[in-house]
Amino acid sequence: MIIMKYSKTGFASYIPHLDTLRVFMRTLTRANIEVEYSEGFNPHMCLYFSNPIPLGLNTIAEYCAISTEFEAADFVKEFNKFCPQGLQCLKAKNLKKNPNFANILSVSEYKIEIEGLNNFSSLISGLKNKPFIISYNSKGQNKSKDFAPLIYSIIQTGDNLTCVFSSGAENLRHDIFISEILRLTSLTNVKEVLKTAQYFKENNQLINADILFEN
Amino acid sequence: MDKLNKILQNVNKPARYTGGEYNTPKMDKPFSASVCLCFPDIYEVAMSNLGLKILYNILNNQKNIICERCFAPFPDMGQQLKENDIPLFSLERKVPLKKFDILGISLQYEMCYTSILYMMSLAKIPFYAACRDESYPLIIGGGPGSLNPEPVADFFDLFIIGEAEENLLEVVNLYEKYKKTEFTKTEFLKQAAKITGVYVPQFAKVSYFPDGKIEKTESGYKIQKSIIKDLDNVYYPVSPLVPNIEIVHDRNVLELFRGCTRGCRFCQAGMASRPVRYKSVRNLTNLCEQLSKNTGYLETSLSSLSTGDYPQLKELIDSIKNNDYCKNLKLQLPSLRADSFLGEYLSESRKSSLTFAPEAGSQRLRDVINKNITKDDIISCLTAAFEKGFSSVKLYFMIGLPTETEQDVKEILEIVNLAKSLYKKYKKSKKELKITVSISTFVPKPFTPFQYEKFNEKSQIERMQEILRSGLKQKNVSFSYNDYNLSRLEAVFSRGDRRLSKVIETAFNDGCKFDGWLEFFKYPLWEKAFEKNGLNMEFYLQEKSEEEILPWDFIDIGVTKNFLTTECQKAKLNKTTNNCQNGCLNCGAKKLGECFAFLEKQ
Repeated sequence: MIIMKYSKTGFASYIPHLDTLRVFMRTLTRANIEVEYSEGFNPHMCLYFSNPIPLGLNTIAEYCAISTEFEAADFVKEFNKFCPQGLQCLKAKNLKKNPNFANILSVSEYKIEIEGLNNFSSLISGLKNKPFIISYNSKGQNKSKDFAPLIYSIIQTGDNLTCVFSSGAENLRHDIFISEILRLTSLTNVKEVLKTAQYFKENNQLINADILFEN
Repeated sequence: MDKLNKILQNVNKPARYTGGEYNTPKMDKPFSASVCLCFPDIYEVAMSNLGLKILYNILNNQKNIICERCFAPFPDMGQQLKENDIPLFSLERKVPLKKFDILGISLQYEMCYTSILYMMSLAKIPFYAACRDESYPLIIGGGPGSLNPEPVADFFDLFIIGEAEENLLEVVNLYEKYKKTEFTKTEFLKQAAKITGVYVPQFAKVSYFPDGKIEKTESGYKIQKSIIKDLDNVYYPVSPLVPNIEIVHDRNVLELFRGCTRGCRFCQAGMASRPVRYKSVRNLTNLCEQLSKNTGYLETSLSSLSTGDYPQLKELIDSIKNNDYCKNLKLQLPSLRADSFLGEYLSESRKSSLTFAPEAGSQRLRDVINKNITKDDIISCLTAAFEKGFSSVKLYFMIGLPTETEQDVKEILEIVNLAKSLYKKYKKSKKELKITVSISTFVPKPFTPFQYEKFNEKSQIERMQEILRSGLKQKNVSFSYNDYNLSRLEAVFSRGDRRLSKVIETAFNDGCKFDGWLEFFKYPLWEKAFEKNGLNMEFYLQEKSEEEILPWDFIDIGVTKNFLTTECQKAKLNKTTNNCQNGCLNCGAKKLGECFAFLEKQ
C-alpha cells in the first residue's frame, strides 16, 4: 500500500470527485504503476480517497491510499510526470495497512483571505463560544443550522483567517461559512481560499494527517 | 483571470471551459500563425470528435503554428460571459477568438448552425464574411456538414471539403505567408481557391428562378473533394488530449478505414467517404500500442463506417491481443452489421447490450434502401448473441423511407417479437430480455441515391410513430423516436441553399441556439424566421426533379450523379445492389484515388 498526499489547485480544482478518481486511474496506468484491481464483474483500481470536497476549492492537503507494491521513493516523481496540470503528488509512503482516510480525517483547515476583513476583528472574535446560525440552500431546500459546534478555531491576522472546521460526517462547507461572513460584513472581495490541512482526532486532540508519512 | 474564476463558480461543469488536459502541447512556443479549432457543441461532444483530435495535433506539431480549441459554451456560461463582458476565449491560453489568425469551425450537422452564430456573437465577430476585413480572423468551415455548405456559405471565408489533414495545413501556411505582407483577403482567397478541396463562396454567385429553384451557379467551377490517397501513411495522433471530465466517447479511437462498400441508399457518409482505403494491421497495432501508452485509457474503439467489413478484423484483434501493452485493453466494436456479428470478441466487454440497425421492418423495404440484411441474418445474429449471454438488445430503424407502407412499419413489431422468442429459446441467464427500439425519421441527404426524395408530412410520420408506440407498449421494451419538427428543419437545411443564411441569422437573433437539444429547440421561432425572410420550408422538403440544379452540384465527391440516380431507379423496383467488395460497380470514386474495396477477405 502507498499513501499519498496531493494538491489540486488552479483549474484542476474544477474536476469533480468521480472524475478525479478516473484521472488518477489513467495517471497510474500511464506511469506503469501496477495497482491492484477489485474482484467481480466490474473490476476497478483499488484507490481510497479522503472525503470529496466541493467543486472549485483549491487544496494542498488531499490524501489517497493505493493498493500497490510500488516503491514510495519513486512514486512522487513518476506520478507527477504523468499527471495533468493542477494536480501534484506532494509526498508518498509505503504502509502495510490502509489508514482509511475517508473514515479518520474529519477535520479540515482553510486559509481564507477577504479584502477588508481586518476591520471586522471584533465580529470574528465574537463568533467563538456562541451559536452561529447560518441559513443556506441545500439541494433546492432552504435550511438553517447552528454551525458553532463544527468550528474548532478561527484565527485572524489582518484580512486572513485560518479556520479549522469539522469536515467529516458533520461538515461546515467553506463556501457556506464565507457567504455568511460576506453577508454579515457586506464585504465582497474574496481574494483567496485554500484548504491547507486535514486532521484526525485522537484522545480529543487534532493530529495532522501528515504524521502518517513520518517514520 | 479572477473574473473567470468567479464565473466558473456559477456554472454547471466548469471543467468544460478550463483546459489543462494531459498531453496539452507546448503553448509557450514562439509562433507565426495561430489557429483556433471551434466545435459548435459542448465540450463532452466536441472532445469525442476524431477529426478535431487529428487536426489539433497536426497543427500543433508544426514549429511555427499554435492551435487551440474553443467549444460552444452551454447557455449558462454564455450568459455569464455576456453579463461580465468577457469575449469567448480559447481553452488553452484563454485568448479571445477575435485575436486568432484563423478559426476552423467544424460543421457536424444541420442543427448546429445557430450554435455557430452563438459562438461568433459571443466572440464579437460579425457573422457575414463580407462584413469582415483583414483585421478579423479568417473563418474556415469543414467537416461532414461541408458536403452541402450552402445554407451557411455566407458566413464563411472558405470551406475545406473532404479530408483536411493536408489541406488545412496548406491553407494555414499560405495565410502565414500573406500575413507577412500587405495583403487583401480577396488576393489570399484567390490563391487559396487553387488548393484541392477549397471552396470560396464569394467566388461563386448563385442566381434563382422565380419559383426558387437554382438557375445557375456562376464561375462554373467544380470543387473536387480532397482525400488522403495513402491512408496507411497519413499522420494519426498518438498523444491526443485526455479530458479531465467524462466525455461521450471516453476512450482511444483507432480509425480502421474510410469509405464503405455496402451502398445503403440513404447513407451520405458511405457514399461521400469513398474511395475505400484501409489501414494495415501492422500500423493499427502500432498505433494502438502508442495510444494506450500515452493516454492511459483501457478501452479502445475500432472505428469505421462498418467495422465488420474490415477485411482482416480477426487478424487485427489477435494482433492487438498479442501485443504486450494492449493485451488487457477492452475493445469496442461499434457499427457492426447484423450479418457480421462477432460474438467471440465481444464476450470480454462488460457491456451486455448489443446494437443492430436493420433500419426497415420488411425485407421489401430493406431491399429498397439496399440494406442487404435478411431475416435469417437477423435470426442467426440474435441467436449467437443470446447464446453468448447477451440479455439486452438495441435495434435501430427508420421511418419515412421512400415507398414505405404501414405494413413495412408493422413488420418492425414482428422483429421485436422475433427477438423475444429467440431469447426465450437461447437465453443463458435468468435475466429478462431488455429491448430498446430507436426510431429515427428519414431525412433525404445530398450525395445519396435518395437525394431527390421528399421528406414525409407530419401526419404520415406521426401515424407510423403511433403504430409503433402502441405496438411496443410491452414490458422491458423501450421506444424512442425523433421530434417531427426537429427532423423537418434538419431536412430543410440538409438540402438548403444560400438563401437560408438569412433565416439562420433571424432565428438566432430571435433566440434560437443549441437546436439539436430538445430542451432549447424553439420551432415556432424558426417558422417565423422563414416567414420574415419570405421563404417557404415546403420548397426544400418536396420531391426534386432530376433536371433541377441542386445546391451541392458544384462539388465532386467522386461518386457520380449517374450512379446515384441509377441506384434510386433500382430502389423503386425493389432491386438491390451488391456489396462492391464482390466486384467494382464503377460508382466513380476511384477517379479520386485507388479504391481497395475489393481487397480479398482472408
